[in-house]
Amino acid sequence: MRPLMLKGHERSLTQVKYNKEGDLIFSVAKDKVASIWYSSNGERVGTLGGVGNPDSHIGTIWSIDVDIKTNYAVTGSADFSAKLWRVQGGACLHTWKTNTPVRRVAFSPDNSKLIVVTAETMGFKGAISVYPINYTSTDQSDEPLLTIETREGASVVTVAGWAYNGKYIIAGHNDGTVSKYDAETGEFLADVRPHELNITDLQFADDLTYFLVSSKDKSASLIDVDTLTVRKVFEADAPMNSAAFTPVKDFVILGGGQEARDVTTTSSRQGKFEARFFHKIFQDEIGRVKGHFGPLNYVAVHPAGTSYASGGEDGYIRVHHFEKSYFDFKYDVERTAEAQHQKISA
Amino acid sequence: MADIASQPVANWADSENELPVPVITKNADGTKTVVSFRVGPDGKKYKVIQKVRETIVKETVHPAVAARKQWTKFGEERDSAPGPDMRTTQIGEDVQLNLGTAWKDLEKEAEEKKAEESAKNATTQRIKCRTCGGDHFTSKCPFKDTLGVDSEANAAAPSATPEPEANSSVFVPPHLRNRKPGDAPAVGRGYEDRDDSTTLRITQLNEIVDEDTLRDELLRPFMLKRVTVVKDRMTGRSKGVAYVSFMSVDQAQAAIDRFDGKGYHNLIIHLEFSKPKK
Amino acid sequence: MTSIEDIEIDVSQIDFSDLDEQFAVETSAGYDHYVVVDGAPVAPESKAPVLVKVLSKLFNTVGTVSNVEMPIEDGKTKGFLFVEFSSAAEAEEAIKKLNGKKLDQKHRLFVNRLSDIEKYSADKVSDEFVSPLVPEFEETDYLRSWLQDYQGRDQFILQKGDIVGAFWNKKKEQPEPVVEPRTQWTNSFVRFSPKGSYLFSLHPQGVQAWGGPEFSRMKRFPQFQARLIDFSPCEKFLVTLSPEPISVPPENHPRRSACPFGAESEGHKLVIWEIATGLPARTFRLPDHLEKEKKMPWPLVKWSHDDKYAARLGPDALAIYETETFGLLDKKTIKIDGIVDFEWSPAPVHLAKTANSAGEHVLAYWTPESTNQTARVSLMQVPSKEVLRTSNLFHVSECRLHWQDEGKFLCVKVDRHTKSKKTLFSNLEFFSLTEKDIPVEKMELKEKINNFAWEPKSDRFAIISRLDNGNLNPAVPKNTISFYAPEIESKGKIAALRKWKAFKTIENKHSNMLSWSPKGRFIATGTVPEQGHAGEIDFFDMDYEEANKEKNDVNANFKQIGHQEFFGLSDISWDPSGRFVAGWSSLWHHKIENGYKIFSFAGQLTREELIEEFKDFRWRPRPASLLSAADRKKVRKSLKAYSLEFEETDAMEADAATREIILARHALLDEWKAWRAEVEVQKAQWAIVGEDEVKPIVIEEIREEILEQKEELVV
Repeated sequence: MRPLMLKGHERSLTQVKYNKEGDLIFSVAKDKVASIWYSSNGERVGTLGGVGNPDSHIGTIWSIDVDIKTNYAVTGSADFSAKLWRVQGGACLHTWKTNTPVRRVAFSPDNSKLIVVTAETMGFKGAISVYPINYTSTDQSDEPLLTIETREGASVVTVAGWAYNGKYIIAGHNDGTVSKYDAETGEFLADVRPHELNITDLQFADDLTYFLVSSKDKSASLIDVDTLTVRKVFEADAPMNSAAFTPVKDFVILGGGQEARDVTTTSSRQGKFEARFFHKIFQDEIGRVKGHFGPLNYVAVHPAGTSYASGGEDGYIRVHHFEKSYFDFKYDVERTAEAQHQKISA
Repeated sequence: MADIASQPVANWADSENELPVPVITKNADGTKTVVSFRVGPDGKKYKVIQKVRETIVKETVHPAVAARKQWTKFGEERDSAPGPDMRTTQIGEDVQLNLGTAWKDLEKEAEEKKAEESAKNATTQRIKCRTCGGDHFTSKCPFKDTLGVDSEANAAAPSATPEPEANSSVFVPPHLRNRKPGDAPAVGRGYEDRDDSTTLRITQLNEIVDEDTLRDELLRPFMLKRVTVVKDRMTGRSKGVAYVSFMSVDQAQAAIDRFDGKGYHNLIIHLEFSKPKK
Repeated sequence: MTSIEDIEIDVSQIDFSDLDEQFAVETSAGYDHYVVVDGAPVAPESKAPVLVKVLSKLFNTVGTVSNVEMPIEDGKTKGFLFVEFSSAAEAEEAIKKLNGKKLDQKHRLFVNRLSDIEKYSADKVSDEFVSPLVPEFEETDYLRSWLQDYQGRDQFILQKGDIVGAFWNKKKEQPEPVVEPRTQWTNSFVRFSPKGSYLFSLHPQGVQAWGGPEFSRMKRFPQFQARLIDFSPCEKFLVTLSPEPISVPPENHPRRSACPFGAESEGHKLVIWEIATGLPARTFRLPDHLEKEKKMPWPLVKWSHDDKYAARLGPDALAIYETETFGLLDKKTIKIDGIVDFEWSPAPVHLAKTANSAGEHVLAYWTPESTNQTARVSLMQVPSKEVLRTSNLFHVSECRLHWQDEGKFLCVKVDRHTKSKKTLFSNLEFFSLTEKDIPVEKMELKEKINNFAWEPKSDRFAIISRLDNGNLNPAVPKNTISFYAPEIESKGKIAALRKWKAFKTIENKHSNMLSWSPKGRFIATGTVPEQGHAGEIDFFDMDYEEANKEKNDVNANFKQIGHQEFFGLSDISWDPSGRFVAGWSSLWHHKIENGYKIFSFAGQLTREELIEEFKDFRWRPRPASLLSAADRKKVRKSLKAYSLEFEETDAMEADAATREIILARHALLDEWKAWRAEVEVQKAQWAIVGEDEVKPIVIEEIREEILEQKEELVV
């Protein structure tokens, strides 16, 4: 596997995402500019913001999301704002001002709403705000439809996302808790605490019925939306920053590594800066991919499962197109189960 | 990208990554050569020369994807030419993903293999002169005459074969000195201390039978240490007697059970354990 | 010390009943000389002397008639008469030869013992019909239970000393006993019936059959000292031979009821039993010419493929019996001068001239040279007894008849002597039974063929031959193994009249055994050590699949796939599935390296056990598969699935830890699938909508490909 090395960011990456068809990769970093790449050849097609663009963010962009039609992208930044962009051409359409830095943005499954997760600073409590997105005109409402403030006794929300049909909002907290809210009313429904330390990432499976959360406590968990049951736990040996499902194959990819400040040598081995592949069902670690010179801050997988991209603390995005051996790999028990199934159906 | 200089080097990873911009040259055959630099895991700087071919690939995709392929570049890329830009897009080194529960072993194996290969393909072979430490063969050393004497003595000491330990305290007869451990026992060594418990004496052998026929025909299934057919010293003809040493007494016994009193090459052969010479 | 004379014996205290039994004098002996003849013509008194004369003449042909008594009543003879012979033996002979004799068109004579009249006279036999008591149905264990093994494993018998055990083949693992090994299970050896339903053991009192999952006793066949046993191919009949003639206890004797034989079996040695009932179907006297024979030719009874006919070789004759009644076919033997040997086709033969889709019964026999006739091989159809084809042979010293297992070909191996009669060489004569007029193809060799074997369900065969040059020193490896297949004439087709061609010859071997896999394709050739060489087994593949398969002019691609040494080898045998080959060294042959080894079909050693006093190894045969061609195809299609499954089973068997892991993983997988299935159901309720399909289009894109890469260290 020869990875494409995308060097468009001057600083460490914060989030990397594929669009629905997987032909574009959206990346954001601490350098205030979002980049858009062709995933197949690594060519950068454009940036959202940049030198000379007055609409550029002026702080670290923590998060980016793109709608299913790849019309709009949204970015959330430490500059107390979230911005809506037209993907083609990179024009900024709207800016939502917030009281605190924006940590996470996410379109609802039907793209009609937007989640903005804000951090807890300067006397403001962190919150999940839901804004409507207006596709028919350029005017966007600054008034959130709903604001879910950090509830009493709970720690601040770090990540959030929409479950199936946009019915629930799932949020990961700073103390390792995962909560479920009604997306319409903002009512708190349930929570579970699968991790000891803060939840660093939340990614859904393709049908939005279960999700993965990664944590600084060196593990990640697979949780189902309906019951918030922790179905699988993936144990790693370093703090995990991100966890992604691989469509087609029953794997998950975890990314992370020792914090930059804790690493004194440049050896990538010691920092454990590798993408870790786990089997989704058997929970075994089944392989690693080396390459980054710093922790992996985000891992994203092509929606068709053909490639994955990892954004590193080292400022590189590495895009890996899977080889045949990847698709061929199966546990013996999977093979036998499949074979038996075939036999029965035949 | 113009603001690189204005950016303080805040990232720890950046500080060592100050590498020259890649140089691209087009070749006559349509390929291009890219010369870039990278820092290896050992912290040293490497020049990477890649010969790249650009191919046009046909693909079946979603119409929206096709439309996006036609987009003009925007943002910081608005002035860039179509196609990947070497400044932002590079092809990395081959990385392995060996899936399996024993991935650690697989990886180790792959790494070892790779190390072996790279050792084979190493372009810059390090030659170091033993005399002066220069970049040439020792024999070609310009300082051979001036420095040679001294270092030769030094070099000779460790390379000489270790002295036989016999030199130390135990007396070794002169004819056994300087013998290496694996040497065949000297002729004339006392037969009495040879272990003959697995040796059979075969008599009444046909004259035409020699060592090879014994080994290959009669005793083929056995593990043999030694086969000797007694021959007349003058004529070289077989005396019809052979001594055969087996690997074990059991085997020797098995051979007796099987062949003693049986016909072989028209003669009834006799097998018995060889008795020590009186 | 008491001597034998000192012991006082009170004779009255001794129970002599057994001796009494044995030496009891038959009281009816007085009438043994008489026979009663019934069915004689009823003639006027005047004609009586003539009739007596005629009948006396007839009865004098079998013995000396001392008196004829013909009662006359009302001036007419009564149609019966009493004949007195000079000895009881003659009376017996008369009953045997003349009972049922036709005197003329209208009259048939019935000759019976006078004592029988007494025996069956009216007051002893009730006039009323009493239906025979049908014994209650005894349920036996399921005889084919071993075929239901979920892993499809095969069973085998190991015999060591006086212990016999049945085991499951567990490949590398210790064989798993089916039942606790039994001591004294047999007095000499055990044999499975041809389809594996029964195991037979030999005892002084007779033969016993065992079967079912526990190898429980099914039937006893009480023939004293039975030594040789054989079976009909469909397991209906058992043939036993004992050197002890059958002695039927006299009438009214306490042991008479336990004796299954009728009086007619007295002195017989060869018995055909019906296995299902355990009763004798027919007994035979051992033919006189065999009584002196030291090495008994065996089997003495040969069966047609479907058990419908049994045949025995007689001097200058062939006796074919219909097993329905065990009567002679058409009530007479077939006279064939000098017949030496015969073989039934092992399968129905589809002759070109008959349209019988079920196939015909055909047997082949050969007769040696006689003064005015050449030696010849003939094919006879049964029951028509029509000779379908004969082939004349010259200078024959010996013939062997080798049927191909589907009855398509017959190969006759003819050992011929040179004119000097000093050395032998072999011819092969091939009869193509399914072709029109049954063409015969001859093949002449310079060497003498020692072994011949058809590949099952194929037209290929293998032989082991040796040049007979008078020097037969067994220590020198001079045997040649050759493999033959029909030549492909053109366009990959084999001509109807096959011309066989050796596609591989291996010279200078000791090999003296050929054993094809029961499924064909693979063959193991064994060397049973004679003098001066060791036992070994070679494994060959006739259809080796290779990428660069040469264009062969025969339909085969030869490859040696294995070689194993087994010093003391005494026999080899394929398991009925063709997966394994067992080789063993038996105490019955020698004492060297007794034990067994099991190899995979490709010649890899899977298991080896050296056992003191090891005697015998027997795979349990299997009946023909019941799978239809479609079923078989289905299995072949999902072969990968099966192989995965089996590999997993193997892995689990091999290691307990692995077993745990595999089971745990299966559980995880099932759990996950169950949950996902549940969610899928719910998804419909949640109304998660799929997206519209969009028609994809084709575009072009620039891709970079690194052709070569060099790295240099920058100093």
